[in-house]
Amino acid sequence: MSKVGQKFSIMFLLSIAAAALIVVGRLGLGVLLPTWFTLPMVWLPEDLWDGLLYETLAEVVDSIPGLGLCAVMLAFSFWLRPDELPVGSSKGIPASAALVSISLLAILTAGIVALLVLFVQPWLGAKTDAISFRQVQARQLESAYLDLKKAGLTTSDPLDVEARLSLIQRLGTLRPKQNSYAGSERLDYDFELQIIKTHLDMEEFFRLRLLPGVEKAFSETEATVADLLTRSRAELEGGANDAEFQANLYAYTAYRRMLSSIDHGLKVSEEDWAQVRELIDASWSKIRERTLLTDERLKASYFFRKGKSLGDYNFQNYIEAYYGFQELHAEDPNDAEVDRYWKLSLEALRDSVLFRQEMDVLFHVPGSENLVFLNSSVPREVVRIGKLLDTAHGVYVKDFEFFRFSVAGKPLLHWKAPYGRWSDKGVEFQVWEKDKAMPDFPQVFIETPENLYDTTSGEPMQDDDLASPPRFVPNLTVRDLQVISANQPGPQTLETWGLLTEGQTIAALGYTSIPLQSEFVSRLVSPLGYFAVFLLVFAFSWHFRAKESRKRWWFMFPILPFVINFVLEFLVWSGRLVAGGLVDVFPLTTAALILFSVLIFMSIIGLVVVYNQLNVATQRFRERR
Amino acid sequence: MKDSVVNLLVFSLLFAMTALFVVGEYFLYNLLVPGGRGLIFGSPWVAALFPALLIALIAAQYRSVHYPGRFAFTWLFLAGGLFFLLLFSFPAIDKAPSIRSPDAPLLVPGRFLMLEDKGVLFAPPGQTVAGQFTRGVLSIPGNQSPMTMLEGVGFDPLNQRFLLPGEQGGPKSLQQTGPERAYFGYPEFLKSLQNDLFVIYQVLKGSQETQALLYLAQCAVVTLLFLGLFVFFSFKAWPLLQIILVLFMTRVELGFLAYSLVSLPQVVQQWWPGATFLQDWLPVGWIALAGLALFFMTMLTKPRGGKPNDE
Repeated sequence: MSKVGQKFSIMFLLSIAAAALIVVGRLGLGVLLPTWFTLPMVWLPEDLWDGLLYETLAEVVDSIPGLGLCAVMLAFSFWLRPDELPVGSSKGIPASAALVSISLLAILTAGIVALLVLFVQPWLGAKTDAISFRQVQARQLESAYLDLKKAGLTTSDPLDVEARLSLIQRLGTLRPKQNSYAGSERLDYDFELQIIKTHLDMEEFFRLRLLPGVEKAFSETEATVADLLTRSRAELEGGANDAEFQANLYAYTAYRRMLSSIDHGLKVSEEDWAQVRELIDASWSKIRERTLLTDERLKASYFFRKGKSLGDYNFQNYIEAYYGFQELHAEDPNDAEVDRYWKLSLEALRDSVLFRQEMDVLFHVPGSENLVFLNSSVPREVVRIGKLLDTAHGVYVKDFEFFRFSVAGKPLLHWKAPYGRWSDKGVEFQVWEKDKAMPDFPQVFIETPENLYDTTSGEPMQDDDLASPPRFVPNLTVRDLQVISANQPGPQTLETWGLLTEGQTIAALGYTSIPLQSEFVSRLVSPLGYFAVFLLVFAFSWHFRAKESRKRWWFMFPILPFVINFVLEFLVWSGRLVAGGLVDVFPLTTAALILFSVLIFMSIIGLVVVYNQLNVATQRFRERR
Repeated sequence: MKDSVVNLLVFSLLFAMTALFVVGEYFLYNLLVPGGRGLIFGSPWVAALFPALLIALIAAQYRSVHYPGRFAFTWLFLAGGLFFLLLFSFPAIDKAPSIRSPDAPLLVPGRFLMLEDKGVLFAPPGQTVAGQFTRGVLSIPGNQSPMTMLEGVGFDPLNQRFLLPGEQGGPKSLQQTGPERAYFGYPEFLKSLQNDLFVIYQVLKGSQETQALLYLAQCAVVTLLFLGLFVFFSFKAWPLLQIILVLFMTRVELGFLAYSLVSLPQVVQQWWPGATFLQDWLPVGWIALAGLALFFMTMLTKPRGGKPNDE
């Protein structure tokens, strides 16, 4: 290796090592003294080491192009002497050997930059984004959980507890090792989960206690005969549902007590004796009447409805079956067959029906919000999704709004659905109330004869068609929507070839693809641009090189990277603007070709300038020798 | 003498080139970012003024150090050029042609436009969006209210905002953090530089409109201060270090100017409320003092010529 290569390589490696030390030191101080030094990003405690590693690598890699130019400046402006330039043979073209060395160095460094820009930087960017996204997602979920918990102190909506359970379970999945760091966190997931489970268990316990036949408001074994008679009369006269049974029970208990007293030789008053017989007769006659009329009718109705629900289930009319069994279960919770089929119908509905209450709970989870996109250009359709959740169990949408309009801008069809599920077949809006047979289907604002909401049948929707609101078939996938999400990272962190595909997608969705295309073109031409800049910086550094004692200028070392970084940042920004302007005016390929041509021209100028500088130095050196 | 004239020519030429470069960047930025009006300056010509003056001056000073000609003339020519460009640029900028028409349509047919309140506007493809009112614009509110097709959407070019009819009425500004703005946004160091340049411009512009004499004096002391950069070229150092030092000192001088023209009057206002004369003229005297100090140092160390790297 020539002196040119040696001195540049040493300076380059030293610069990278110094930069790595500075970055590690800065991040280390941020970890050790968080009150004095802030970290560039906030990570979850369990991601701290990964975050530090990727952040260090990302920062060092980001600084490498600038450090390369610093190394050029320091090596060729400060360290390398003219007599160390490769002179070649005396018969050859003067300075050609030096020019070859410098050009090779520029090509090698530009190659490294190309590797970094095209592959390493986007990969590291994606890694750091993923780690920081986990932190953002966890904090959002925690905030949603704490808001619900705070609200739960004043309201007692059982859905809130379910929502909290759902959120804490998601948090547990997202951060399985959180309990190791729970002492310094806003909440301990395991502890909160146990509290919620205990809360639900207690609720279930009290619910079972309150079932018919379980509650004992009055203990007839401990009451006196007088109490029993009074209670029996009150029940009989109160006329509440099933009161005659209670009246009969109390009167019969009093009667047995009196008989027992007589058996033990005690005296019973005539008045009580007459009263108890009267109460038994009166209550019995009412019981007899009910048993023969109402109860029989109810029992018949129950069995008839049960038969119908079983039929609905067998014929796969699961919605009707579910609500039928739900009603029967409320009437007789001890009917095991009803309970079994009620649960089976619910399971059968899971794939086709969404329950509003469950969706309310689910959508407490943070997701992508306010996604607006163009579904098709002919006819023109704009869709807005209030919130989109991409979960392991499926993709769900909230506040899904559809607007179709004519070329003249006349609204043709406009509707809005509260919830929906996005599957391969499209988005379905089968939403029902869980506790009562009431649909929560899309609300139609505008409908015209040629553009009816029910596009599948072509007929206006009737009330009895409500069981099947039409499915919406989008012209895109859920993944396509990620490009318009506010959570989407900037073009700088996207994979190079993904910029092209995402650029096409985003343009089809009604957004500008210029930033993505500009980034693509900028990345493609950046190695050539770096090559040209390398040559020009070399010429500049060589022209303004130090000729006096070099030891006096050591303090340049820390200043230079900052200056170079500013210059490079400005050049990158200007390059982006130029690439963006070209992409805006010309097609992508033409824009890239124009930029390539300009940079090739700059590289040629750079080579000429470098040759000129080297030639002067070589000639002088040869003359002196 | 010949070199003195060449130095002035270098200054003038570089001023024009840098101004065109900055205006070009503004043009591209405005083209690519919806509602983009540059970073701070509404007019690209204003944004270009100080960077062009300073870059041209530093380059001309560098040449003057190595090819001074008759240095007194060189100094006078450069001072005159800087002073006159500074003095006459302010009224000239008001009459300068606009890079982008203020009522140029921000809505691009077939493309969504994000608003500050998270709402979105959409002009269907093929729609004509020129002029102050656009018909048939779909408004998608950010608050989950239903979408509406608006008959006419007004555009307020002065404040760069939309006026929507009906229930959604009220001005809607553009989003400040759109994807284009995030990607093509100004680098951090340029933002801080533009802040200082902006406050300096504001003070000079205010004086130009209301107090001609003060404006004249301010231009004169600013010229004197920047001509003082000659001193730093006399620093016997590695040429590369000299360049970096001069650039650093230019930034320091800009900070000093911003402090003197904006913060110093506020300090005066706090200590002597109502002393408007002092508020106006104390900064001028303060800058003049710094400028004169640099001027005398320049006279003491005036360049004798010679190429930077004679080996």
